[in-house]
Amino acid sequence: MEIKELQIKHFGKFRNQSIRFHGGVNILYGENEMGKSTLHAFIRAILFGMEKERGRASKNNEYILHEPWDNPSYYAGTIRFESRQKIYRLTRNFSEKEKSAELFCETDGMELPADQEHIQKLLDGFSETAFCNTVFVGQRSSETASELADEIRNFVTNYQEEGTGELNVREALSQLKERRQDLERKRKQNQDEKKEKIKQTKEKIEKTEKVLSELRALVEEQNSQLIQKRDRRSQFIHSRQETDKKPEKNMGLWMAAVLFQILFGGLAVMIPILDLSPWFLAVVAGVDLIVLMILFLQIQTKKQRAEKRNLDQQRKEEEIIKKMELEEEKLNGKQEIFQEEIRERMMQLGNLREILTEAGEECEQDRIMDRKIEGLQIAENTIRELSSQMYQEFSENLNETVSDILARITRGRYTKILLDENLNIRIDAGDHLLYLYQVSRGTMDQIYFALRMAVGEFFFQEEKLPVILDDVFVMYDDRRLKEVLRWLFYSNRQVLLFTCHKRERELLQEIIREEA
Amino acid sequence: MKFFHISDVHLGDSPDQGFPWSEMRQKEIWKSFRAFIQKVSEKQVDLLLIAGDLFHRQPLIREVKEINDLFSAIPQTKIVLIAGEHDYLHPDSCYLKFQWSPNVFWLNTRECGGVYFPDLNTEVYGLSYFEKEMTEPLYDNVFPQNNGCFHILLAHGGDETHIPVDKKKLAKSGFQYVAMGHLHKSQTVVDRMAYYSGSLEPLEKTDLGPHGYIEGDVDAYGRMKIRFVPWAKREYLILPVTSTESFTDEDLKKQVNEVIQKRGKQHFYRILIDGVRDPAVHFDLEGCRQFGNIVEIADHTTPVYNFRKLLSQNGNNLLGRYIRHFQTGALSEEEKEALYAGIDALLDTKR
Repeated sequence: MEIKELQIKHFGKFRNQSIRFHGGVNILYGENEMGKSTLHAFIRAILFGMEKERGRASKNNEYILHEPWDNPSYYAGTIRFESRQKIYRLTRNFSEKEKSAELFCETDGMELPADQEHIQKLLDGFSETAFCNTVFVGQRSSETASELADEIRNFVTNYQEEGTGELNVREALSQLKERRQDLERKRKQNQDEKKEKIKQTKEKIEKTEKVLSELRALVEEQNSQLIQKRDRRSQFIHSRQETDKKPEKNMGLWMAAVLFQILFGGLAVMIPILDLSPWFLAVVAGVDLIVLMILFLQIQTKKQRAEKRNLDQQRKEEEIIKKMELEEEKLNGKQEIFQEEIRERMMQLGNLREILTEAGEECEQDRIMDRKIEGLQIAENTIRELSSQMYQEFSENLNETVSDILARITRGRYTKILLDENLNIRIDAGDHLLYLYQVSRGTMDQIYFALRMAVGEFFFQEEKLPVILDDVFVMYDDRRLKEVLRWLFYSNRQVLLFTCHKRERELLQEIIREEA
Repeated sequence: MKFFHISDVHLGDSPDQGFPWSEMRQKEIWKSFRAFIQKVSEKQVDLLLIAGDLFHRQPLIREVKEINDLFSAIPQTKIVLIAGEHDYLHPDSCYLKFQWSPNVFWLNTRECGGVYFPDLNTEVYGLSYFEKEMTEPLYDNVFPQNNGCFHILLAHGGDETHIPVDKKKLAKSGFQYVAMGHLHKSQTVVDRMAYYSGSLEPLEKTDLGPHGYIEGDVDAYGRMKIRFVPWAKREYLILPVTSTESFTDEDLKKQVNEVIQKRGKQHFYRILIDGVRDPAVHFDLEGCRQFGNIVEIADHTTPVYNFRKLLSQNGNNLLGRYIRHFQTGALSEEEKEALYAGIDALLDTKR
């Protein structure tokens, strides 16, 4: 790309002025306060636009700094440039109220959409940040901004990209992480709900088990009661049977009857011996009979009385047994009810256990979520891996390019620098590594210059952007300045060098003479 | 003779655990069964066949009592039941101990038994589950007696772990009707002979379509006419959405709302989004739940990235390398997820 002409309608102190440039090194000499920095700022503004309300104070300042106070609607200008063998004209009105941009291809005579994406395409994909951190070097800003490390990381990931906008690895990663964490939260919520359900079911199981064990204890107790009762009853029955076996005996009366009989038998024998009258015999027999009858009657009544007593006793005892049996039956009935309750509770317990197993099972929804979470994790890991892999490749190449440029502008004094991941620079001074703070300010400037040029060159090889330098070589001595100019001269780029010193022009002429 | 055939009532089940309507459904299943018994009464059904899984789990005494009360209220209907794998005959099963109403007939043996109804000139065969799984093909060698009456087999299962059924053997078995249970979707096993009535109510999101019972009429010559009668008021319905590149979240919501309005708010919907989508479009799936009972909403769309174009534009940058990283053969589901999520994030955060 080559800047052909700047037409400034109104920008800072410039009004209706146009400046033309040629290819190669252009030196714009002017004393202080001549507007060199304004011109430098104009190039940036015309290429990338300028917003009043853009975040950082410095950018607002830029707008306010160059805003014309008398006629703000003329806050405008045009740049003519060549890109890929075609001439384009980009016109912008910066004024807040009438902000506009027009892009016109002079070669094709065609109006083009003037959105930043299109313009950036013509600028070889350079974003404003990339531009400001490489080829566009302001006064005392040769040090690359701290955001360059991030920017370079993004360059790396956008390596060889063609006008598709810039990828932003860090943000992409944080978006993926956010999505993953969001899902993980939901997943956890689901799990907690499940756990709650399991907990509740377990509590119900415990409760049922407790009731069951209480019921069982109760049944046990009743059982022993029942056994006791049964024992008592059978004992009772047993003892009763025993009393039944020994019936009351009327031995005395029977003995008396026999004695009487013997007595009267003896008397009856004696009667013929003593030769007593037969009448006497009849009387004796009669008395014996009467006595016997009395005795038998006595025995009979006694027997009857005993039998009656026995019957009463039996009835009473049977009543007692019946009562006992009734009690047992009642207890048995109760037992039955409790047993029923136990079976019912057991059934409930079984059902609850089934619910518990089912609750623990993984459902489809969980599986889908897990898959998504896993997918997001893979995406994060892959992006991280690829990005560091690319960074590795890149930093090796970048180190080489930076070292190469540095070697040339220091005439071989420093031939190798090393950049770590965060773009911290260390200088290989042959036998040891130097940190940046260990070298002179002039050397530091040279290193940063080399880094800017290398990054610019490294990524945008197709269309070399002009190098725009606003008084950046103030700290250089003549020898260093000459080497840098020589490098720029041979770099095959357009260079716009703003300076308030005459030595740049003189040194350049020297170089040209040496060339010839 | 008029008979009704139902199965898999699953009393006590509360479908769609975790969804707001789960408990309400548990009550509805009971309500539906009570109403069904009312229907049996109105239609003066002679024979009610319940082909297993009347209960979702082991029934409790009070539940069995309630069922028996319902049955005893229709004494003119003979009810034949078997236990399925859900309410199998546990040694303590309430089914066994219960004093059932005289019009209730349990076929509660391990081997096929039968019950004969002289007034209906009908004999019903069947067996009950004693475990959750029965792998023996117990129906394969069951043949009705050749006694000239109408023969019904009441069967439950039909898959590998629940009494596998050989259709050919069944077709030749000699039964006039086979009333099957276990599958929740009403279907034919052997034409004009063996049918699954399907569950009386749909019980999970895979129980798509209408649910009800089978009504059969047998005339004096043994000729049978049967038909499926939808009974459940609610259905699980798939609401397919085909997304295109120009389809947006608003389109999705509009379509979902329209379909639900049209088909009825009482149903349960499974929204399955298929097709392709603009990578920039992200469907607000949770937001669709406001339109009705959404039991599932799944986005199966593929974002249409033009991989060729993306690759040519992003040849060797991270995005290009990312795409190529995943272009190495078959991707697992997770890797597919990763591919799209990564491209999406990289493009979305592009400056």
